[in-house]
Order: sequence, then structure tokens, then C-alpha cells
Amino acid sequence: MTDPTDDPVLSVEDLHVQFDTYGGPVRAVDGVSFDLHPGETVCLVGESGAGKTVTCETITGLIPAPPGEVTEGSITFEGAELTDAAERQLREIRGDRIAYVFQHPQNALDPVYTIGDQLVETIGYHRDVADEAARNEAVELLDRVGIAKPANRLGDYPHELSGGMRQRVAIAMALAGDPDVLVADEPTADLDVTIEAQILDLLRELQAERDLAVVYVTHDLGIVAGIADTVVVMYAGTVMERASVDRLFDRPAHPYTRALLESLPGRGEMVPIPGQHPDPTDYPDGCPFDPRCPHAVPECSEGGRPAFHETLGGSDVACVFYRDDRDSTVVAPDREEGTRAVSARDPDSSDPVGSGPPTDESASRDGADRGSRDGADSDSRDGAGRGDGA
Amino acid sequence: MTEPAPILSVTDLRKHYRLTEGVVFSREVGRVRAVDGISFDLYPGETLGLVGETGCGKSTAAKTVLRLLEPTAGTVRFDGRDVTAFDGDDLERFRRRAGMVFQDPTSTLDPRMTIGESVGEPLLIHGVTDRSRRRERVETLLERVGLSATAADRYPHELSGGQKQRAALARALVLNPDLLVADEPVNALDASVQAEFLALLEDLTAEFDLSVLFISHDLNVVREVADRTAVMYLGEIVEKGPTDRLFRDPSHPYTQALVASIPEPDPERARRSVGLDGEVPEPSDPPDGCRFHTRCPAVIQPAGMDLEQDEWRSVVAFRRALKADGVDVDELRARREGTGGTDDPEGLRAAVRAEFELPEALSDPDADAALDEATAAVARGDVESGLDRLEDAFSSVCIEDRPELEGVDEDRQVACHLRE
Repeated sequence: MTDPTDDPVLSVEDLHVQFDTYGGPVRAVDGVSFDLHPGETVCLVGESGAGKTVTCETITGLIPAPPGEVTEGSITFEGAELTDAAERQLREIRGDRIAYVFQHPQNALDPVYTIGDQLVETIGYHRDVADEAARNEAVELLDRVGIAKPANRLGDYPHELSGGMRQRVAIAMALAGDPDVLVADEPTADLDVTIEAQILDLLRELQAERDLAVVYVTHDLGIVAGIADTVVVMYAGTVMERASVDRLFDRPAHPYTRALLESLPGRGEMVPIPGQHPDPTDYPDGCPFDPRCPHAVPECSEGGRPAFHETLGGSDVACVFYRDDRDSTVVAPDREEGTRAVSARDPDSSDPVGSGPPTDESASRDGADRGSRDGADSDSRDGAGRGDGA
Repeated sequence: MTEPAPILSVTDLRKHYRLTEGVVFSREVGRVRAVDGISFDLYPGETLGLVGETGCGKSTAAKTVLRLLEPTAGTVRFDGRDVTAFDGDDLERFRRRAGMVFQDPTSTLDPRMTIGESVGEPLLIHGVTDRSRRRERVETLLERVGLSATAADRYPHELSGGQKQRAALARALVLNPDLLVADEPVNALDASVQAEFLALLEDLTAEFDLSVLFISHDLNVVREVADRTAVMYLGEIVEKGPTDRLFRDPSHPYTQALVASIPEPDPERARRSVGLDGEVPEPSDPPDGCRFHTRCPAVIQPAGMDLEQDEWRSVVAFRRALKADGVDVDELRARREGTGGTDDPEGLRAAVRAEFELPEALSDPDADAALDEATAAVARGDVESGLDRLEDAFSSVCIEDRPELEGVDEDRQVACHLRE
């Protein structure tokens, strides 16, 4: 296990990434902070559009600029700032120290070269080795990621491999530079459950073996439960809750986290989250979850993003109900009372006259039967609201 | 329980794709057995889940049932009449009573047509030419699936994925069908949107008195919506039964592995590593006997043999690899010489063992002797007699016989030799 008193190998602080589009600026990442320690797995979890992938791509300098731009915040890798690093410097870190595994392995593999050639090229890029030695190393890497008869596979083209094998090869390539940090963006999203289980096992083994720090992106809380040490719950480009994995599933703190867990199939009664993820060109001024939150009160939509509060259990929650003067058991009946405010670095919402008018969503807020799934009323009402917003 | 007659009854349905060579006088050189003899009944008001991994044939099965694909063999009875024999009016009438929702709503909705036009199109095709009556029906349905009536005037790109899938559902229901076939309808949706869609589907199933054939690779989703579930592997159904019991107490080793592989949103259970080795074999060359035997952790040993299960499975894998691809002894010899190995028969035999990841010695001496003989034959380049020796000494019911789907109790069936 990791020791949180260690220095983090990677630290993301109040990151804001914006894309200029014809529809106006899109705040894809809108204030994300987390630390990653050696040997630790941090899972970024959230729905499509939550900003998980853009966060990862920004870490490795993969967002196209323009239109992408880091407008605020910092990313430090072993103390070095990455957001304003020169491409040259980034290149030494990317792949070598921080490696990336993509959702679609075909993004990492070139269809017109054999996997052997690609592995040898990658190894040669990182280190000055002869082709013969690089070839042997490629065989070892393939063997390590569980490819049977690796020597016979070097001559295969990517299309000759199954999806699971392609992802194994992509992982082998990511390991070629012997990285300290592995960023894995939904690497099992395209795979069947039995193959997914194999890949997750492999990642767990590799992590233990090499003391890898892993940033793992997924929308699947089942995977989070199996692989994470720390979970960062993202919504609308920002962090709702940061907690250890046991804490998160045992005592979810943020109303969004709770709603997300309740919406899962296979955990008893499934309760959908009403409404829709907000439009990224027009995020609400207050808490982005406010329009869908069953507990929302007027101050949720006022005075900017809610500040982070640390619960007694050690999770960080961006929700006004965790302020000292509020009763957090309203949103989380099963948790201990009391919190203390933390982190000066996060925007503070204690200024009630804050900027911006209340959004129109706050006017139409009604929490009365949000949780109920019975019958036509809630369905058609949600739908009607959606229709108006579209 | 007095069972009513099934609304849909599928018997020994097969869909094979021919692999051919030659253009003018093409001849068959093989077959992809996408669906290879499946049978199931769907009762009125029931939701039947069909689960399995990519390539197991579940989508092909769905399309064949609706005759979007022509079956190779077998019968599909809808309300007692054979769908495979329908043509002309009969087929049109059948299509009116059977709706389908696909994985990708974008493929259902024409980007150049408004949602209203798309949803109303089946009405037009089936003879409702009155514009205002179509409009009325479309608006009612759109509201019923949780969209606003004004969505009728929008284009598909203006809607989110979840909204598009609702519109696709409205289109499937516009003719008031009795049967709905849903092929991975929530695959492309986020978890919270999935939950909404599934809740809606459940409401509508009751309201429209629909019978649903629900196809998904996601076991959690099937567990949520299906009354009964059938598990497919390589074109066959290996187990079917009431959903609750199938998930709580899976009987077939494949179902057990599938259920164990579900990522559980519970850190205590999720960290246990369980799973299946290897990948699904090609449906053009399915394994003999039980199709799952190549990956089955519980594959049955020959009578009287007492090997570690890992050892036994390595022998099974050796036998299959030898049969499928043979072995290039010259290449093996060259590789041995390259690394300074000698050319003696004994060394080569050991190399064959190593190549196929067989243990150096089996725990059963008789079995080990037989394996020695087989590998020695292979090392001599005589793959044929090596295989014969293997088949002789290591004969297992799982490799020789294809298990039939048999009842383990009243309403549960499983195709596995272990349950016999």
C-alpha cells in the first residue's frame, strides 16, 4: 500500500482547460485537483463529458493547442511544472516517465507495421540499444503482458490480433520506457467482461511489480472498486468528491456520488438520476450538480463553486452541506456528523453575495419526488425538462 | 403454474455463413457457425435476456428471429405460426407486431428526417397516410417515452444519446407491437442514463404488454431487466433459467466465470481475482465436444486419471494446438541449435514439452508415460501418431461429446457434462 505522507509523484492543482469552439468556450476541465503517489492507483470516475479524458491528455501534453488551452492551475511531475513545459522537455517525460494506454488500442498501434517493428521502434526511442537486443526485450515485454508464444507474434499486424491482445500489446508498448506513471484511459471499455478481468489482473500485477503509479479513467464503478486506492469523482469538469475507495463505497459523501451508486444496476433498487449533465458551454455558476440534486438549497446555485470540506472519515467533498454550520446528515444520513473546511487552494463559496445571478435551473428546482421511479409522471416530466433545454 | 402458449418459440435455430473460394464456381471451404442450434421460448409479458461475449452469436440470433437475416436451419414460431415460412403479406403482418431497438440509435434515425418523421415512418409504410393522425400518434408516443411532443420537430443531432435511444424506442413501439427485440439498447449510454432507459423500458413492457427479447453483453443490465436469462457461448446456449437463480447460483462453468467476472461495485469483493484464461475460439473452427472445454477450468479428466487440474488443462491445450496447427519440428530444432541445445531425441522431446508449456512431469506416472510417447512421436515429426496416442490416453467426455441442454430442475437447463 501507499504511504500518503510520501511526496506525490504527480500533482494536479486546480486545473482548468478550455477549448474554443464556434459555440463558445467549452470548459472541459474546470478545477481539478488530486495527488498521485508511487504505487498508488487514482481512479477518475464520472459520466461522459465530465472531463476525465481531457484531464489525462493535459497531463501528458496531448491536447491540441489551439483550440485547447490550460487557463489556470498546474501539473507537477516530480516537482517540475508540466503545463508550461517546452515540447522538448515534455517529450523526455512523456512515454518515458509517464506512459499512456488509450481506450482504443488501435490509437497506439500503427496498422501498417508489425507489432514487433513497433515495439522495437519504441524501445529504441527510449534507450540506445541494438535492434537484436531490442527484439529480445520486445519478446520479454510481450511475454510479461501475457501473450503466448511471443516470439511467433512479433511478425503479426495489429489487425491479426483480438481486441484483448491488442490492448496487451499497447500495454507492453507503454511499459517499454519503464515509466513511473501509467495513465490508462478506459483501457477495457471495448472488451468483454472475461477479457476485462484479465487486463485488470494484469495491470494490478504490473503495478505491484514495478511500483507504478496509475491514473485510471473509467465510468464503471465496478472497475473502480476493483482497482482504485483513491477515487476522484468528477462531474462537469470538476471534482465532487475525493476519497479512499473503501470510504467511497462504504460512506459516499457527495449527493452526486450517492446518486451515481444508486443508479447502478445489480445493487438492489435502481434509481436513475433525473435530468441531464449540464451543457459544457454554459455550466451553472454554483454547484454544477445543483439542477439535478435532490437536496439542493438556494445557496447551492449562488456564489461560485462549493468549497471542499474534509469529512471525519477523510474524504474531501465539494458540497455546502458539509459546511460547519450545516447538517451533513441531510444528504448522507448514514454518516458521522462534523467536518472541517480544508484546502485554501479551492474556490471558496463563503461569500454569499458572490458573482453572477442565480441560474434559471434553481427556480424550477423541486426535490419532492426526484427519487421515485414509478410511473409516467416522473418520466415525462424529466423528459419535458430535457426537451426544453435541448 | 399453468403456462400459456409461448408468443415466440425458437427451435434449433442455425445461421451459418459460408466461407467460399473462387468467383464463378465458388465452393464452400468452411462455415462460420454464428448461431448453431439454439432453442428458447418467450412467453407473453416476459423479458428474456440473451447474454454472452462478443461473437457468441446473440445479435445474429436476434436478427434471424426477426428474419432480418435468413436462417440456415431451424424454426421460429410466432403465435404458433412458422416465421421462417412467411412471405409477402404474412411477413409484413409479422413485422408490424415485432419491433426492434438497436445498439446505436443513430443507425435507426435518418439524420435528414425529423424525429417525428422517423418515428412516424413505420405508420406510413403500413398504410396510415393521414398526416395529422400520424402526428397525433407520434406525439403521444414521444411523451410516453419521456420526450416532449416538440421533439418531433427536432433532428437527431439535436438530441443527446439517451434522448435518441428514447426516440428509437418510440419508433419501435409506434405500431403497437407484441414483441420487442432490444439488441444492446443501453450499451452506448452512461450509467445514470442507462438506469433511466431501463426503468422506462420496464414501465412500457407492462403498459404495452410487451414480450421482450433483451440482448446484452452486460450481465448487470440483464440481471436488472430479464425475468429469465439464456447464456450463449460460441453460437450455443449453455445455460438458461430464471434470472435470479442463474446469477445467484450459476450452474455451467462458463456462467460461473461470467458472473465472477462482473466488476462489482464493492471493494471487498471486487479485489478477488477470478476469471477465465484465453479468449473465445473462432466460430469458423469451434472446438470439438463441449465448445467451452478449451477455457473451462473444470474440464473433466479421463476415467481413472488423477492429475492436477492445471496439468490436465495443459495437456488438453497441447492436444488442441497440435490438431489445429501441428508443430514445426525443424524450426524448433533450429531454435535449439541457435541457443546451443543439442539435437538428441530426448532434448527435442523436452523442447516440445516446453514449447507447449507442458509440465516437466505429470503427477500421474501412467499419464506421464503416455505424454512422453506422444511428445517423442511429435519430436520425430510424426504428429499423426502423436495425436493418436494423446486421443488414446487422454480421452475425456468434454472433448469427445457435445453436451445437450438438459434440465437440472423444473425450469433450469444447462449443457454441461459435469451435471450429468
